[in-house]
Amino acid sequence: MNLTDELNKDIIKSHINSDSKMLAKHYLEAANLFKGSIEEPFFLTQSYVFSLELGDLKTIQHTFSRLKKLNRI
Amino acid sequence: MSERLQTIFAPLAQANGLANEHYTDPQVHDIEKRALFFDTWAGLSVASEIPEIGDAKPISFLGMPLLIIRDKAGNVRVFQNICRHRGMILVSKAQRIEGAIRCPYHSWCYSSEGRLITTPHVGGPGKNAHPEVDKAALGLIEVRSHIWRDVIFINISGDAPPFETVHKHLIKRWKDFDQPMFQGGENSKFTINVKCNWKLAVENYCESYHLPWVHPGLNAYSRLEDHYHIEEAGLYSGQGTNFYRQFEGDGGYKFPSFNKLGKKWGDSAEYITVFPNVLMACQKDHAWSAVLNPISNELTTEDINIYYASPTTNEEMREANKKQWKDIFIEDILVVEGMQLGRNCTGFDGGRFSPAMDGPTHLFHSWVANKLLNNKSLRP
Ligand code: FES
Ligand SMILES: [Fe+2]
Repeated sequence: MNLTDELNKDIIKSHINSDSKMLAKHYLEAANLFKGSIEEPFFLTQSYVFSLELGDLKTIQHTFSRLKKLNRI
Repeated sequence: MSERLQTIFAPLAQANGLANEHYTDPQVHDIEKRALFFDTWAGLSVASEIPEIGDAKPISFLGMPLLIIRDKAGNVRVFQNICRHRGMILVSKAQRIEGAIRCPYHSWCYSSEGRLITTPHVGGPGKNAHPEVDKAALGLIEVRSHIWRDVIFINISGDAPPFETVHKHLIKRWKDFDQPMFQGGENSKFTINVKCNWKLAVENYCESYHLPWVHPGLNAYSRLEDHYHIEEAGLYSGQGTNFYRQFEGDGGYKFPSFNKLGKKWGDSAEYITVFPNVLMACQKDHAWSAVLNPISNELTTEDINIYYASPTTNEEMREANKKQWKDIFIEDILVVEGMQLGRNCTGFDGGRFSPAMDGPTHLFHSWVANKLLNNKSLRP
């Protein structure tokens, strides 16, 4: 399974703009897209890191608890 | 070096000043870094530079990248500005940290208190922990700090006695000024770069001997005979005046005075160097500090901040006051840079002091010599 072209483009654009808010959002979308697959914790981690940088408590808690459940943190 | 340093301790009338190498030799500068800065309480910056929670500012100090940050509890902290993973610089421009400090390399994240929060993918993709990577032991390296009169003093070696112990004498001397003071904003700060060793800026600041020649504008109201020396061996030196004339604007505006100052401060003002590198002034209606940052053995940055007794003083007056002080700092550039150049002459023997006028400078040289001779890392 691959990221959709659109989501991939959004992620790259957000990296170029150093837009942590959009990065947290798009990586979470990717994690949802890959829910249950081996890639899920990777994308959750990415979203978790950018939400930490942002101080976005809601996303931090959400991604953290999913990583915890997957025993990845 | 040590034999020559001993000669500094001769009585003022017979002593020569520090030898040229203390100004011109990068290797001696390196030795002085450790002995005079790392092992003492040195000035780094001012707390008003990072007024809000999360404000962070990188500063290179003696070649070491440091980070000052106001943590979530509102405390100023100083860290070595490096990630514990591969030593990448963490913060490269002044900014407000809203959440965590994220390393730009592999995104290890730290709290504003320096705690390592997460190590993404450290155990492989999507695995954010590894049994061998103990996050609790990998927080940011904090530099011991203490704030006094808004100046952030740091002790890099971490083993100097507490600031309040080292400087209890000066804290007591200026206890009347231990009250709220307000940095006057952008029009109350300026930076000056001087092409000289930082010690020359200290030496020039300590003495009043040069005032009639270098600052003739001060003559009218700050005569040489009104000045007295301030000499506290091993701690600080400077000069004071018994005739402080308040700065006055058109229409007679004056800055409000600090509260309940002792009688002495009605007419007096004091200008002191807190060794090694903080020039400070207390006057009844405003105060200031100049933190010297030695960029190299022959280049120094001076960061000046001016403080008032009230948060709401007249803006134009603050601007005019800043100009007045900036002009004085600029007048000093000629002499400090001239002395730096002069120290390339092989015949210069450290110079002779005026037995009457140069006591505070000699006291500073004695402090330098003493610190160098007694430094633990330099003793054979
Ligand atoms: S150097 Fe900072 S995370 Fe790798
Ligand atoms: Fe001067």
